[in-house]
Amino acid sequence: MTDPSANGIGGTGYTLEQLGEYLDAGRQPAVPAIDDSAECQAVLASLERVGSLSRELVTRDAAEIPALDESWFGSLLGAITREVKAGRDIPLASSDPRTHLSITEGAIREVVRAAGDSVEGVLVGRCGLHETDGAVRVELSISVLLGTPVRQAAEAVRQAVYSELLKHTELAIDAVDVTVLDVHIVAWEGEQP
Amino acid sequence: MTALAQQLEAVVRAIPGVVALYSIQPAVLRSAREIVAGAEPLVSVSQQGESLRVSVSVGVDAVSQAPVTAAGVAAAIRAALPPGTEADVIVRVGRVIS
Repeated sequence: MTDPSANGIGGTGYTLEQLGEYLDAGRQPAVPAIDDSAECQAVLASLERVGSLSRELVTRDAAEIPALDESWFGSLLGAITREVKAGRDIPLASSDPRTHLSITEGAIREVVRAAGDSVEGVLVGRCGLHETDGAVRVELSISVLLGTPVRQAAEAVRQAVYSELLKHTELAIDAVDVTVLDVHIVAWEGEQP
Repeated sequence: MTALAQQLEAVVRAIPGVVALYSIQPAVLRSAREIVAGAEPLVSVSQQGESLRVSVSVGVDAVSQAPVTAAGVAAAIRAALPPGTEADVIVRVGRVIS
């Protein structure tokens, strides 16, 4: 099941597709290399969230919201896979000089993505953290579902991200920039979006 | 050392707000070691000169503040070490789980 030609997600050798299969199998039989990898677990959580969105869409009236473009999902999953990499350890304050606390960049990006996805009708596309002179600017792109008020959704995402970053990190947040990339109005079968 | 690591893993798992432990070693290295030595604890304990180095990567519940949970993990590890043990304690938050 491992892919020896690549390091895979989190260096485990497992690809996105294989993690999808593992999820579909109910995470059975258990694979410790996946279960013990923060990066793999972050990808699995994202796959579950995206899967929930898909199910939500197909249960709605097809006349109201047709299915999302498959390539769009592929692009989203690619972004998620890149973002879960642990990256740098961002220090957290400690009063004991022999205690070293940190949170990974990957964990912070997951916080940002989860905060955005928690807003109804929103799915985060990409998110990035950019540090300048100790201050961090967060950039994320979102998609909103048809019928969701765009401006309010973007503001709700911005507030949710800011709030969660204040809660879970000690970063100096300079700005949270939200870009609405698309509203999902997809054409009927046979038509172009 | 393995017995202490196993004991510390149980301590960390019991801390409120900790919902998962992850390997702190690169996956490839861990797999290679486990082929030789069997499954290893997810808390790493190593001797460094006169002191210990204890490392752990945790997934924390998003309900609590991650820095507070991480500090709690470090404090619990210190409290569980044998009295008088000199140790560096490294706690990394690998995921914040909603």
